[in-house]
Amino acid sequence: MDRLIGQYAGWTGGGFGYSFFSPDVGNQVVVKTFTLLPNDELKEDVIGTGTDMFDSRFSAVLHTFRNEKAYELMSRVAVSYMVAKYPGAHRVYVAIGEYEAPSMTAYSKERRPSHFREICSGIYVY
Amino acid sequence: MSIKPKTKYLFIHKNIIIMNATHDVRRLQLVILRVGVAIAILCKIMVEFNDLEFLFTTRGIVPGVLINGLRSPFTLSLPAMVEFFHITNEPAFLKGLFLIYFCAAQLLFLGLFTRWSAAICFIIHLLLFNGYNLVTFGFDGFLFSLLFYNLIFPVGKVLSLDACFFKFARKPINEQYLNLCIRLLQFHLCVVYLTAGIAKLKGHEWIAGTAVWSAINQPQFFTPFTGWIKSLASIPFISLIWCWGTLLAEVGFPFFIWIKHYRIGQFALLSILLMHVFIGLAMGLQLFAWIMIVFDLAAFGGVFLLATSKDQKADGFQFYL
Repeated sequence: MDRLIGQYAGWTGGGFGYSFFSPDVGNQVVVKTFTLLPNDELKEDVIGTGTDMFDSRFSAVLHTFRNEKAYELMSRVAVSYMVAKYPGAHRVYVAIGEYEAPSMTAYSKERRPSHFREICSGIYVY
Repeated sequence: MSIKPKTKYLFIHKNIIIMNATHDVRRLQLVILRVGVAIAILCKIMVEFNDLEFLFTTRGIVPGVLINGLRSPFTLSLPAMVEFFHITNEPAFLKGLFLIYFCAAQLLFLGLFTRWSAAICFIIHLLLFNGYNLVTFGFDGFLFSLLFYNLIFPVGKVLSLDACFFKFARKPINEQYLNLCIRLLQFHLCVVYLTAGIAKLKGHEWIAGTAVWSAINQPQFFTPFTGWIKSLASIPFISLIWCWGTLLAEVGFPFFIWIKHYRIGQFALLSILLMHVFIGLAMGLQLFAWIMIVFDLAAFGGVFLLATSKDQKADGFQFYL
């Protein structure tokens, strides 16, 4: 039965779930990286802010690893990309965090922006 | 055009019959399906073409070890194909594949060699989707399904170059088959909205009326309209209306869409279309919004065209069946 369902889903797209933004929306996971280039320049990147299609797809990968046990894997994925993006880079600082929305009242009163709460961080040497 | 008994006709102006409504409106829905999907693919290729190497190669953002681990054993996938043919220059191969994809999507748009172009688009999308499902999201899933429908439905027989150049494409579409195709789309779409709506009903944020607020505060959904939308959504009453409006539109869609009386079906479709326009404009998910609007109109676009003033005045409930 699993094989039949797998084949049906694989050939028709029927295995895709439709539960978007549910049961709850939650906070967004964002990865910030600081990459040290060979000329000692520090490059800051933010992954998961949906700036373009590539970032949206990267965000989908990060969303899959949105689990305490998978943060290490998420960091490695981000570091691999940074090392490929900046050839010669050998040291990357990674911070995984969530953007927490302000309450409606706080936003109405003082236009308080979303708050970045760091969940974990680390330095990778390539 | 001769008038047959018990046939519904579409009026664009008082007493002017322009077409056999049910059949021709359904043919028009097939055109929406073909052209809408082709436009979606062309847009997708244009925004992704420069990042293909990072997105869809074994040296990209999804580690090779994960690609192999998550690969579906039941179907084709790009990494399996690369491995099978011992392709060493993945980026060049991928660019070539996307150029073929681009050409096939253009042919699909024009309706030239429609079945073949739909098949090429479908296979390439299938390879990408099954091989790199970690980087996929809602848009890709719906594109997959709609490409499958393009492959099996007679989309090349209506307003297409095939119909201009080839005799086989000019043969009329069997009415029962056309009906079955549209019914399949309609059933699928109803399942989509019902599933999405019920899943949301289980969430505390949707019931409390804060889900829309949480969503528009995510940086990935920031657009030039965000400030304005946030000002509105920060009013709890408005946020509550948006959340419950979404729930009502999604859960109610499979039931209300069939009702002709008081234009309920039209309102159901209009409300769901407006929801997708909101998603596209306010949250920046233009491709997702586009593919859903195409799906909605391909399945139920006829409800805007088939209702006549006579239907609205009829006693009792009438249905779009």
